Amino acid sequence: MTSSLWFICCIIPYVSSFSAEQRKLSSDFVLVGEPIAISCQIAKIPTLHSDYNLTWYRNGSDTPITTETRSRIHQRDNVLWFIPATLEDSGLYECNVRNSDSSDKEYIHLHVFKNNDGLCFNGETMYKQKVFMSIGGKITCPDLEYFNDENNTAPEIQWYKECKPGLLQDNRFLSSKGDIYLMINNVTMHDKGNYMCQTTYTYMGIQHNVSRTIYVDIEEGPKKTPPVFVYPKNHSIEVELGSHVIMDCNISSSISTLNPYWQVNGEDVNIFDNTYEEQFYEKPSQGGGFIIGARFNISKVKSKDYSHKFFCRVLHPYGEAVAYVVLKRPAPNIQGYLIGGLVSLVFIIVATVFVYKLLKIDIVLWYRNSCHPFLSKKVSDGKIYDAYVLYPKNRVSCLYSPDIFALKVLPEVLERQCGYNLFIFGRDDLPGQAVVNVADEKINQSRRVIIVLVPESSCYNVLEDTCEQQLAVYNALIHDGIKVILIELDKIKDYTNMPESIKYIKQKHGAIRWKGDFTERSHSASTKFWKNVRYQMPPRQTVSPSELQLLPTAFNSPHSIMLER
Amino acid sequence: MGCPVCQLSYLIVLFLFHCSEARLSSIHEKPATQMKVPKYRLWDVAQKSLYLRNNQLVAGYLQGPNSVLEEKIYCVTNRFFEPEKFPIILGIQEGRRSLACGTGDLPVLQLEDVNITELSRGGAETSRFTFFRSYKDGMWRFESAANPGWLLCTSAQSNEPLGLTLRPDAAHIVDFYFQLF
Repeated sequence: MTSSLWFICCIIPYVSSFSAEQRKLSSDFVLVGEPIAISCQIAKIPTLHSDYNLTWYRNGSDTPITTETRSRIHQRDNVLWFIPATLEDSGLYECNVRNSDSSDKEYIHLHVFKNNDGLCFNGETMYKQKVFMSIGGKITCPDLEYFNDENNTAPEIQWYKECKPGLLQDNRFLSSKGDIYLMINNVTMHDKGNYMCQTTYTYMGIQHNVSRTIYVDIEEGPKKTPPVFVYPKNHSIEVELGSHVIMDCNISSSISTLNPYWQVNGEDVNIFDNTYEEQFYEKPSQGGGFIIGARFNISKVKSKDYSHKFFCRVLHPYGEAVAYVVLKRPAPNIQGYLIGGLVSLVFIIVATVFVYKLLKIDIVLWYRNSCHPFLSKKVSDGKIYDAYVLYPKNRVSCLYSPDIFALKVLPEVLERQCGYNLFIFGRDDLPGQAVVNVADEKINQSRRVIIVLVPESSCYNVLEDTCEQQLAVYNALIHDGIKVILIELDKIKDYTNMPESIKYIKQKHGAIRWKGDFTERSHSASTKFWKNVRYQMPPRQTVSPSELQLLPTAFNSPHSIMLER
Repeated sequence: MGCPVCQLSYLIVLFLFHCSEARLSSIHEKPATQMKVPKYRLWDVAQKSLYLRNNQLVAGYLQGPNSVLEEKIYCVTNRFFEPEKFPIILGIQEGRRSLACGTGDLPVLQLEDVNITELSRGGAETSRFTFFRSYKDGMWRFESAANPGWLLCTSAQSNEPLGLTLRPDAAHIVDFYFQLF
């Protein structure tokens, strides 16, 4: 670490202080005890002609370095030699080039270094080279040009990895004799590491080692597969007119430096619209390889942008890859409509149910009035009466007169106004008939049984003494089909003393409570109470004329009976 | 965090932070033009890198700390030429200096102070700045658009300038690795 700092500190001051001459400063590195040849680059500038003088100086000295080739440090053919270099040789050297017209200088900093303890290299002076797994490759033992032996034949090179010899025993590694390259086949990640190449240089009969150390980096490398589009993927996007869109073509490629570009309507995007300025980018990809892309801004989407496909194209060594994106006007928010629709549907259903609950009776009555005559089958059920009316008879003492209700109010509304046919015991039975027989027969001929109840407190023991109600209830419950309508003339708080059958009906079907008075004035069939009663009553039967003729006159015209009584 | 006031102030701070963040991101969306231009490494099959020496692009082995001297290569596609030929303009120093072929009898490679992005908009006169690329086994060759057959090359010797050659041989290396820096 300290030595790396040392190097950086050495370079930076020179780079900054010689700003004008920075291009004329470079650093050379040599392992202590090894030879090095330093050349001067300005001598290679084409503008310089061949007739020039090149002289080397150690910085600060006016004496040129000797050209005496037996000397350890000497100049030979414009090259500065150290055979070998010692630590004291570290320092700045000046190469001075002169011809008839001009002179030029170049500075070279020589660093003589020692290897790291226990290693065959110094981590700070490594060369870096790269090999790709997908294509194999070669590494080079660098900077050996000056070390051909005295017969000018290429030096023989030994290769080491991590300072261990015998690398060539692995036949994946190949180095021909006299070749400065090391070929690596079937490269794996394990081939990454520190390599050393070593040769010898014999000068004046003395053999010197020349070594170079290389850090070899292994990369996945380019593959023979075409680039893959990350975006676009031949799809469409919804954008509002006037909105800002970034069109970003994003491609994953194992080959670097490919250039994707956008086209629309068969031309480059900047020709389609001169505000569409493409920017290219490339960055390393997470899993090796590269992300290449081209992107441009549509600051405000225009109508013309909707009418074409935007193609992103990329040419690669194996062909061309193309993908497109289409801008679309946003569709109406279906989800919003769907939710709205569902909510309103639920609301409508709830409202309908609520209204039906509220107006059920009115609806049924209306239906019976307007539609039923047309829809119902006109087949007689064999019954004569719509309802058989049971009530506590002769209870004048009662606060609520069931007599008045049953004999006046009920017929007034149900018979006169609604056209029902009632059998009211005590009105329609013929004197002398056996009560039981009459009740039994008439109940069987009725579609409903209306039982008028009065509170016990006001009219004690209402129904108990009659057997007809027993029969009626019995028939209603056992011979199902006869529905019982309970009418309370006042609130009955306590049903405990009622017969079981009444309790059962009350519990099952409830009772309708009368709240009106018993005055002689006309009662309207359209009050809530009567609507309730009519609702529980069967639909009015429309009887065919032939059937009518068979009925007794009395039943045909209940009004006349009323008048007679 | 126990007191409701603390929680409330925490929520307010969170909300404000969220707002400021939202505003920032909307600002960020705009200048897509200030994107980083990609830099590339160009090195030859013998692993020589390019660096500047005496105002020339030179290919050599950069040892240790010298590796920082490696020149970053900037490149743009020249849309004037057929994309099938991978026509590119190469430059150094943020693309301010372009690699060009001289107009003499024999093509000579030189650096010219022209921005590569300006050249990428140009027409036929940009051909001497343009190279057609071909790819083989992970390596690229660069042929001068103005001088058909002339390929970008390095010398087998290190520290020699980048040049052009008609005949690739052992002394003239024309295969390059070209990759994101």
